[in-house]
Amino acid sequence: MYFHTFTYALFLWSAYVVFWALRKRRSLRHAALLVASYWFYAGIDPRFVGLLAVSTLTDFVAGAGIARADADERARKRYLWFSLAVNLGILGFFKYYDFFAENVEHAMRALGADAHLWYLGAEHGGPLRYVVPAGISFYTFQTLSYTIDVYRRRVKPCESLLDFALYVSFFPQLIAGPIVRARTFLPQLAAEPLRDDSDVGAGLFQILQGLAKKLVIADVLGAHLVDVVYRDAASIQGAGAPLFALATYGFALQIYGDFAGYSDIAIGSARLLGFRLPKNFDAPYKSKSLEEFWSRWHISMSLWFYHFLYDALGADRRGRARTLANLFAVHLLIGLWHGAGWNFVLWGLWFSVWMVAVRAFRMTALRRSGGKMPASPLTSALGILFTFHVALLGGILFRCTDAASIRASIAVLGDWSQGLPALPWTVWLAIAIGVVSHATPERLDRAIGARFVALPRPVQGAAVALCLYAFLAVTPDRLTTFVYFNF
Amino acid sequence: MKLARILASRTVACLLALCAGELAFDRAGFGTELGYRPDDRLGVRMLANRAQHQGGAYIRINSEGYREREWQPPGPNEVRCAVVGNSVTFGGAHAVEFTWPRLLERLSQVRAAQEPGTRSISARSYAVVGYRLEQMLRCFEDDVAARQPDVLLVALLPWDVAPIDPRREARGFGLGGAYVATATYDALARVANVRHRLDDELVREWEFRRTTVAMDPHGETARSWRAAAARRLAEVRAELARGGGRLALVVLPTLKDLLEPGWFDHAGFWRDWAASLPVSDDLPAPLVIDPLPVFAERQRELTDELRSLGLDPIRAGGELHNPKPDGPLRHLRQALFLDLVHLTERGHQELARQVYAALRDADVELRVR
Repeated sequence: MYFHTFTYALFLWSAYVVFWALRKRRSLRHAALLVASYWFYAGIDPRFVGLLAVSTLTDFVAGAGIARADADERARKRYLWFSLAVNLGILGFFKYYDFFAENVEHAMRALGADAHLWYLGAEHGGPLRYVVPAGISFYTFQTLSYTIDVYRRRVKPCESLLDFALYVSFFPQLIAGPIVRARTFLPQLAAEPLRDDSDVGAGLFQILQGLAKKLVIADVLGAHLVDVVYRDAASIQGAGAPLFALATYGFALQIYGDFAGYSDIAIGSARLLGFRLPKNFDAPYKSKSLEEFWSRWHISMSLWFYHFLYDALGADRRGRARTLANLFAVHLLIGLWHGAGWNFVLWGLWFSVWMVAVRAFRMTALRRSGGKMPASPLTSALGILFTFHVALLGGILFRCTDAASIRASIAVLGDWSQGLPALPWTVWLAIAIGVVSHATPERLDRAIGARFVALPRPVQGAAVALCLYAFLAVTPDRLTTFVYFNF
Repeated sequence: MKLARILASRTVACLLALCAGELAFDRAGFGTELGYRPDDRLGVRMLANRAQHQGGAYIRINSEGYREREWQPPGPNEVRCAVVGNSVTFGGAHAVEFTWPRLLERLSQVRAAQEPGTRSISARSYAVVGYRLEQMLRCFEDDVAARQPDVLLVALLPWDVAPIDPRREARGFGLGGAYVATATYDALARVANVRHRLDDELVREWEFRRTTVAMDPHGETARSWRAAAARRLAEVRAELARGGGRLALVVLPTLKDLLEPGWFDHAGFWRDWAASLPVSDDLPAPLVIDPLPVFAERQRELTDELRSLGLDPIRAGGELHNPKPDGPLRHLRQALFLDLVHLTERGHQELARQVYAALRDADVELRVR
């Protein structure tokens, strides 16, 4: 069940009605929401529902165990390692095993050994089709964050399995985030929800924004430009430099529209049910630096890596060399988190190198200038251009799934013999909306939202219908999934 | 909680606005033309109860989603023939009366009137444009088998053994693809007019698979597809036999067969397959109907002329499809082909004659029981 379908609209509406009908009955309300969440997950891939339950039980037990052990540090560590081993074991097996086996097999063959390893995925002769369980990276990180927070005594262990299961599987953010910390979500479960009419309006407005990003920006650019050019090495080669460049800029907007659109719909859906989820995107392409970019792009994941990895490695507290090494490691792992493929490793490496270079440069500049960095409109503009283009060029590595396509991407930049072909008007519309959505000041965005919320309820309903007409008129006929569902 | 609060005014307003739009588009004439909806089993199905004038022919789709009359139980003495196929059998360029299943029916009625004791045929077409063999067989299993036809005619081209295109299965926006059946969908699709590129891609994908068989009919890919198709046909033959029915393959001729004879012995492949199957009273041998020799004979002059022009099959098909008033083809009037694969009315007539003759020759019970 995808967010941008009528089926989801009906599902969300039903969940909304049942949830608010049970407002006064906490356990029933949560049980209904839990059933809805598992139903939602089963609608995407029923085979892996059990994994979600295993992950939930593991961290519930681990959290309770850590709390019970209290002063026994060794026992507390045992429970933490148990959670890490189970969660990362499942994630590693389903997401990375085939990648690992394939490369081991290649290496062994290169050394002359006749290796035939067992695989999980059907494309390698294994038993499973689509081996990566939907949303596994997201819910694994979410449950891990809970156990680590309990271990660090930053959150109290959840006493209700029902509440904890709902925290892990809450359908709006189950498949592709935002990754929510327990201390943000569990207190909301404990309180009785207050039905605030402005929440409904704001939720609807955010869902509409998400649908616009997904259906108008991402899907249009994907169907009519990016996916056509980036289909394979031959199509990249044949596109010529101008079209390839446009497709690459288009991809930057497509991936933003796809993922930010998903996040908006998730946050809006949660708000209809009275829950507040953290912001996940904040106009990332107007970041003035790479650090700022990662605080605006997939914010919940960046914060996870910052809190649970970068911080654990010592962050910037252990000297210049260690800081740079930590930055390098974290961004390499961010790349690998996105997928099991060399292109994701290269993508992570790309950001690692730039992050390290920029941080080293800044450290040196700060030392020489006595702790002050010059700031002007020009440096800001240059910073935005630089940051955007680092992300843009990294996008080529993200989008190309094989070495031949990456090579073709480099080669085609020399071919300026062809002009731009005629493209559907919707492509230019999608690009314009993508640019405008970044250029719009946040206060204007908020003011439009507030104006929508202030509209009489029937007018809001009619406006939703009108927006649906507009979106369906321009979006391609083909229903596409969300890119981040694969992670 | 009161129902009025549950059915909040936003929901009601939104639904009313959507319904008003749908009504307005419906009144404006949208949502009546031919179209497809997604289907879990078949990839796509034709939308039911639609009608459209298309290139001079009137096409009406019945309540089951086929270009056929509404179903009525056949007469007691009629041989029940079900035809599954693709655009060749669908015959979108002609009135339904001039498509070969209907002509087969009429031919049998004429013969039945002339030869007392001969049963007429009730032929129902379940052909859908773009269907491949797997879709045709699923169509039989889902919609035809329960009606226990005496004969199932599977009309297939060499490349129909290619698998179903998965991209076609992803259309629509949920709720069982109900949206694509609305006037709103039709209106937005036609007004925005940007969906053609995607259709182009679908066609390209289809062309690619067709080309795989057409370019390399003896290659590993084509052979594996044919092997899978043979297994499925054997299953269908057994299912048919349980209801007392018999399987007949109509190996459709193409212009490529005429211009490049021997590029692939399509009928020969299925004849060998039929001969390899066990035969008993319960499992009669599949009938393989091969109209190619007669087509080749009737098209000899035209074929020679096309060959003399140095045209490959696709370009030759284009020449037939869009003949210039002062074009070079002197024998155009005798053409049985409309293009590379589709048939003219004369082609449909000839095919119907061949199928009828084959059914008579093959001891299908055309005599009154």
